[in-house]
Amino acid sequence: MYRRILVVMLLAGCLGLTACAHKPPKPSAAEQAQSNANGAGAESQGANGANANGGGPFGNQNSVAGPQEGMLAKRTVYFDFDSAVIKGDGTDIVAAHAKYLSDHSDARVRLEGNTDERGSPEYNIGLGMRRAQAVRQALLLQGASAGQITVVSYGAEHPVDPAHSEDAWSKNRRVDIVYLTPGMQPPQAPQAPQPPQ
Amino acid sequence: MSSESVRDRWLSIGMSVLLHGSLVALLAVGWWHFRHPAPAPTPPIDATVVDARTLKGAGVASAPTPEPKPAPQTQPQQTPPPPEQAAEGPPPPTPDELAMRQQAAQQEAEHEAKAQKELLARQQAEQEKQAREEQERQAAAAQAAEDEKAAQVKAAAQARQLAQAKKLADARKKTAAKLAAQKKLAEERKLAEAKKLAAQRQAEASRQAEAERQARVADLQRSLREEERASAASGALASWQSELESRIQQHWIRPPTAQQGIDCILNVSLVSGGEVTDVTLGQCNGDDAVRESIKNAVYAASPLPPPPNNIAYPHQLEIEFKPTN
Amino acid sequence: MRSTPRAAALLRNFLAVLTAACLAAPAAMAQLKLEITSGVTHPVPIAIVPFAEAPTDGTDVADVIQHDLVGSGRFTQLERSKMPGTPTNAADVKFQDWKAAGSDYVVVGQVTPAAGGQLALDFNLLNTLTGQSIARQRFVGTVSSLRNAAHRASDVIYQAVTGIRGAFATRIAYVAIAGQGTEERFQLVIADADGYNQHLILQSRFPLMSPAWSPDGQWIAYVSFESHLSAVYVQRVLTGQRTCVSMRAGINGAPAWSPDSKKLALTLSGDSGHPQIYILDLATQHLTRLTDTPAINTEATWSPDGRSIYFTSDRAGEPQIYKIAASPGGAPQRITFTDEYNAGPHLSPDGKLMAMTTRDDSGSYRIAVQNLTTGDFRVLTHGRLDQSPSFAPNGASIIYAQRPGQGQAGILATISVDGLTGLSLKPTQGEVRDPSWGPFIQ
Repeated sequence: MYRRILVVMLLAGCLGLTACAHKPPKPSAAEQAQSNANGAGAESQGANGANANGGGPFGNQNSVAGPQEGMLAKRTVYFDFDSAVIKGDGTDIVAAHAKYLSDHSDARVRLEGNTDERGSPEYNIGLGMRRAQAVRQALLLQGASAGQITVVSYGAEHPVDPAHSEDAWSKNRRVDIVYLTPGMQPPQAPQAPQPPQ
Repeated sequence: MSSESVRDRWLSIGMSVLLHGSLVALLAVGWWHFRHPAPAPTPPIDATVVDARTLKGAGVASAPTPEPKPAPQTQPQQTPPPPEQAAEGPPPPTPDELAMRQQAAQQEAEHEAKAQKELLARQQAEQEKQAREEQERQAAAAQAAEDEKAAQVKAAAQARQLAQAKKLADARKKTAAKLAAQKKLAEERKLAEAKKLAAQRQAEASRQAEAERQARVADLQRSLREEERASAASGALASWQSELESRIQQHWIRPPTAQQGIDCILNVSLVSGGEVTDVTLGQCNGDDAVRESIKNAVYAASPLPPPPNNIAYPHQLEIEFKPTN
Repeated sequence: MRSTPRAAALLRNFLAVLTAACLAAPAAMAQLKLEITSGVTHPVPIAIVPFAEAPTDGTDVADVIQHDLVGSGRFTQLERSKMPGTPTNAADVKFQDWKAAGSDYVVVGQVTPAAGGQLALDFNLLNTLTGQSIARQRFVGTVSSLRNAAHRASDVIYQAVTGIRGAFATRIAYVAIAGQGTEERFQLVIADADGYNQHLILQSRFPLMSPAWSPDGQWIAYVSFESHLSAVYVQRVLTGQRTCVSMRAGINGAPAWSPDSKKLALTLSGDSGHPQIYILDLATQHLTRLTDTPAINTEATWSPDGRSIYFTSDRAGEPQIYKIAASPGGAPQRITFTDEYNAGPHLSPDGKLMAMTTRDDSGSYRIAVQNLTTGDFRVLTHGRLDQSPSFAPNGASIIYAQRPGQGQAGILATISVDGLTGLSLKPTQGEVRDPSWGPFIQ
């Protein structure tokens, strides 16, 4: 009888152990980012310009998605001429967004680097990328993870102020932090009209 | 038997309680333990934003490899490929690793940047010096070439003048020699005649001598005058030549293909008023535009300025177009 | 006895006269030789007489030719009010009158109907100084191609007088921005070299940049930011068919065709964010990397022999132009040493000159050319924000983008390679930038 009890105890023990077996881990932040990026990359801003601020279909969409409290409502980091050093309260803005990103691992941003209109256009693409990378570095160092960030440079092609003044230029030397909302429609492909004869 | 069964019953109850209790306890522990998931580890935050420029040497997202960073997988397609390809690339390192790598690479980059800067500064200085020297050399060479050209032109004119002067001197010498011979001859004859004819021929002989002497003087004067005219004509000739050249030069609109190395000869027919009546192309290594332009130059310069008065008008000109720059 | 001295005197006189005659003879030379060692570089004075016109779409052929020739800087024109007549064929031309009016050349011609509803353009280039016909040709085509026929006539006249092939009947491509706000559209446009006959070949709500004609004139490569990320496309000009050739992570930009139209030089940055120069073989899709420095390397352009690439790099701090072999393993060699900023290189078709955007001490961005043999550096333009130079296929002029002063949109302009003659190509509305000059049309 004792042997039977022992066998039963052993069986119960085994059952208990399997019941305590480690549950499968939650998906890591990186893998989640991977699957989300597919949806996020295909997003477009509202096809019919349905943005607050009345920006064009390609215009400012900063206010549409993402956090709005305090520093987080500021989405633009500025730079001096020919420099990729984040200046002024850009460092605080970046810190705030970095914290948000580290707290919300499913948040995604696209960093858009820009320059003023002066100089050779493709070289400016490189300069805009350098600025966007600077912001990306800062975000990563302060808690964001790489899978949350996409980087693009528009060079001088996407100014907020098209005037030819120092004032306009200083507004254009910037990196925009754009929060991405997954699941929106893919953008319309450009139209190729009737070819010339 | 009854004592045994009582004991057995209590034993079995106890065992059963123990078994069930342990099961329940295990379940409870397990539920309690997994109610709150383990918190994600937060990385240590050292909040210094690093200047992106000093990260130039870091190649932050991945170690520099000799292979292309983007995986060459995109095929040329009719429609843009789905954007998931945008997330390709080597997996990003952790922020720790980033910070470490970045620090090491930053130092290396500073070293490299300094060394490169020095090298480039040296190279640049060298280049500038060479460029300056080259410029000076070229300027000096250009100046020398100009000077030489001017000197050549001067020398040519001088040579022409010298030649004329020499001819003049030779002619004078020849005339002088002839004069001397004539003089000698006359004197000998005079003596012979004076010897033959005595007192009667004395007056006639002296009269004849006088006449001969005067004739000689007249000859000398005439030949000297002719030589003077000849020398005056050659000086005026050279200056008329320069005038013609400068006039045609001003009318020659050089096409871009008339570069240094072009050498073209034009034979020009003139009439007395200086009008160009015909132009024939001689040897020429220029293209059609060059040939057109040199013919146009001569016609545009027509009528040519007249020569100085005491020179006969040439009816043929040979013009060589040979740009020197 | 008395005759002897007289005969001797006669003989002496005769000898003296003969000597004098021999000395004087060289002065009356039969042939004079001149040497011309330089000339002038004035524009050639020409008169283009209005053509006898058939009823057409209103194209004034003589006006098109005049605009081409005078705009090149190598010709000056005789105003119509000063013309001594309006002949339309050679027989009616009185050369003396035109020579007196100051013209070295006269162009006469007519437009007449031809078979099948087409038009025939006849012209004759006459030299007023020699009275000869230098060039005479006929072009037949549709009514809508009359302007193109006029440009081809300009090419013939230009070559006959200057010796250089004309580039008036070529095309340009550029980016135009129309509309504002939600209506803003980016457009890729192809037009004649004088800005007429515009054709829209692509329209997008996202930026387009860096259009590049292939040397065979069949394709245009460009950068598009559709889907918010950059990608390089090639599009067939005749059919509009477009293909994406690179949409890799990071920057995809600055496409440049090899002289045989088989490869594209590209700027790619991958995830590192440092743009490098790559060469993509379009047939095999094989990608070759040329540069590997943590700096901005971009704006590649090929030498005419296809063996070297000139590109912009700021590895030394500020952007300068470097040269590297088009096959991997070479080391880059710095080319520009004047001014602190030189970018956006483009070589002349004979490979002797390189045009670029330069920034001088006053902070003005201008177009300059450097002689690649002598290193001689000349600034050609005088604006404050000039950029994106592209050589004409005959190397005689350069098209570029100009950003004039406050409140004015960007325009395109051309400058002759000697820096003396400039022309503006004003668009009807909106802004234009990023020009690329197409090849000769065979």
